[in-house]
Amino acid sequence: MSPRGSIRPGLLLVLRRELRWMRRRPAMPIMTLVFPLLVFGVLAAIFNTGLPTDLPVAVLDQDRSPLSRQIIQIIDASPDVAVAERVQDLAAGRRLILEGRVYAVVMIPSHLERDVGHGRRPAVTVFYNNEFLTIGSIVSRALGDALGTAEAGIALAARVKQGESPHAAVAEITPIPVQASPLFNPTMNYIHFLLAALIPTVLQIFICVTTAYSVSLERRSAAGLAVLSRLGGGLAPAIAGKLLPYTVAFLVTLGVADTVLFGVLGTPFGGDWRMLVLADILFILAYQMLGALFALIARDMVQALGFAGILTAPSFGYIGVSFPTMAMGTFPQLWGSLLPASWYMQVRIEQTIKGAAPAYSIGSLATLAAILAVITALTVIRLLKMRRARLSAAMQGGEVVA
Amino acid sequence: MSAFLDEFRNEFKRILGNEGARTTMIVAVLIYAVFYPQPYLKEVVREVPVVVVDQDHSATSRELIRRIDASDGAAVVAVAPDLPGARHALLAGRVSAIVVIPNDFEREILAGRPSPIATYGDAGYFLLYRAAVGAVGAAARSIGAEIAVHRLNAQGIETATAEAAVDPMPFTLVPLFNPQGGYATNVVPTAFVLILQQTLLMGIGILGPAPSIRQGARQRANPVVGVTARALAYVTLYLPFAVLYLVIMPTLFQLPRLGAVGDLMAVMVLFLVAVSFLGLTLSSLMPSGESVILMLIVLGLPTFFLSGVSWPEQSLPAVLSFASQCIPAIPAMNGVVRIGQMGASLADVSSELRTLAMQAGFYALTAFACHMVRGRRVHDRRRASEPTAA
Repeated sequence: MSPRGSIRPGLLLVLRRELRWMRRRPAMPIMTLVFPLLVFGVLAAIFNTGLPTDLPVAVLDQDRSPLSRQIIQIIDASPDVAVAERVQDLAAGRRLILEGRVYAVVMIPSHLERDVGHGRRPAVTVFYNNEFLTIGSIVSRALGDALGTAEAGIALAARVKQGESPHAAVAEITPIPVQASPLFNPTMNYIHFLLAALIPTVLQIFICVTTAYSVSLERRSAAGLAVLSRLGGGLAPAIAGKLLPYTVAFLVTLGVADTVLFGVLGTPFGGDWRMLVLADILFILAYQMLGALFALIARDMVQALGFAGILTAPSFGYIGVSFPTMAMGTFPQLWGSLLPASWYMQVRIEQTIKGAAPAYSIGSLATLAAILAVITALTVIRLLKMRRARLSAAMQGGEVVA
Repeated sequence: MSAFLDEFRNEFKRILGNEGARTTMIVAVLIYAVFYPQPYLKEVVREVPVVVVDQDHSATSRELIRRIDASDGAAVVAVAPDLPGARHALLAGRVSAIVVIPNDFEREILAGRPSPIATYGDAGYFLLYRAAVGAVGAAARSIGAEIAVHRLNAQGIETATAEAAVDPMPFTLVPLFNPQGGYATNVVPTAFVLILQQTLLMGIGILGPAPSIRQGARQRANPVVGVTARALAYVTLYLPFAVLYLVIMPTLFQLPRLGAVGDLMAVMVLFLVAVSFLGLTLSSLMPSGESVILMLIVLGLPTFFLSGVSWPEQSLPAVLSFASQCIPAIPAMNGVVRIGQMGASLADVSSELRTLAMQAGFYALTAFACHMVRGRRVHDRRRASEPTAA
């Protein structure tokens, strides 16, 4: 009946149609390639400088002695903080903190030097802004280290003066030294972890939202879904042909981002790359299927995008990137364990930065695959239901036309 | 004035009449209020699981383990016989740190030599690593100080003098505003401000240009009245949400709040005015409501990190630092955290208020301009089509 009878329905037909479609719509390459990479670029630029250095602190020096000047010097020499302001009283220091101009005030009491000399143990107090947690912990650690150094110097000098050898004096001051080795992250460059986790967190939003958008467009055109399944000659090739071009596009995007992360930015990579790529594919497919499912159950495109947004946008918290999962309550732990991104993140971190043996990641990978299977099943069930509804409607409508 | 009131009332009708806008600007706002903060509500990281490899089995090593376990930051969940076993527990994610107490730990102490211990922590999680390593360090220091004092006592020096020799200049670190180091205290109010901005911008995008502009109706006076009336409608709709997000929800979640509610709301009014005008600008620049949603959904996370709340703004590159000054949520997040959590007054956040006021003014002008251009274009198109229609 068709003049082009040589073209048989199948996966290729749907694929070719989708590629033509993508070319016509600038939104598609923008949402799959350009925009995600741009967002990664912005995130990399934000964190590129590594942990912040020279965070401003203020000093209230009530002693003005050689010792207090020496303490200030030790603080200023720390790479993490810099003495940016000197204040005359605590109220001025508090104001500087409230205005966001300094993150801490170091209070050196009067007669510090004299009291230290007399063994009266005068106290130095640091008030630091702990509202901004990352900054607060960097500042407090840096100031604690600096004051610890200053104190050890005083204790050491006193012992050496009494005739102890400097070597013995050091042993006396810290009988149990702790050698702390940060694993997987020897330079304590927390950026690597943050960026490695942020890339998929951003990408899952793009994948889910873009798929929801593209499938919604299909639904919007009157015969869209029906045409698709006729072109594909079945449900499976129709779904595959519709989604596959985006799977490839997102895999390329993820590949580019990871190449920059592990290749250019020097994030340690020690895992099994085949396992990582397998997890990448399952992760992308899972969010594509979710996006498709949302588009199929939503009333219209706005609602589909709304579903996709509500599921993916807050998941940064639920995945446990910023705040560790083990410290969460029951509900967020449960919800997080249902998100494909949580399991993908496990595999990803283990197979890149941690360099764990593949055996450690098999459980998470299997869970990710199981979640994908469930979402796919739901999508297929929904499609079958819609087809049945369409067929019965067509049958009723057919009589009218006839 | 009546034209203004008409537009104002009409905008409320449009919001309630448009399913997408209603869902985004009311239902989603209410869902997010409960759903978003859940992961953070436990506030602090405590009792981080650690495994101890005790190769010494002495009274002192056991005392050290007891003190690590008794600390707030760490909990000893296992004692492993050797390092490979401990490493396995770490890689499997059961513990976050390993403490190794070597052979001869006690003997070295008794001999008066430094007797080091080692910690290996999973440094991928900043908060966990810090809590665990901090707890181990504090336990080692406290035992170490006691040993040093004992030794001086043994030399016949009385305790007070010995303590002065061991700890001549004690120092205290006093955390301000968020003494527990709570995560929710920091994240929830700031994220809430961002959610208000994103949903409002999306809602305005979904509503699209008002019918008066779409039809190019000539009887409508100037676009300034219409645009201002619409912006005011959005601010009126969102002010109760601002109270919900910054006053009611934090109280329910028992987050500390220091500043005055009136000061918070002053920031929020300026913020909502700026966001409303920005939304009216975007909705006439972008091709469709859906494109506004697509753009905003993916921009949420980068905006959060640009705010300087979780990452110091000092380390931002100049371009991004400028870009961040164009987003109303950023000065608003900073202002809200400083007032709400740190107890700052309006005077302390004057620079944020200035930025918000400038944004409000600038986006009002762009919104007027966009609507004038668009209105005229529609008007011209109509005129051009009139002869054919006739």
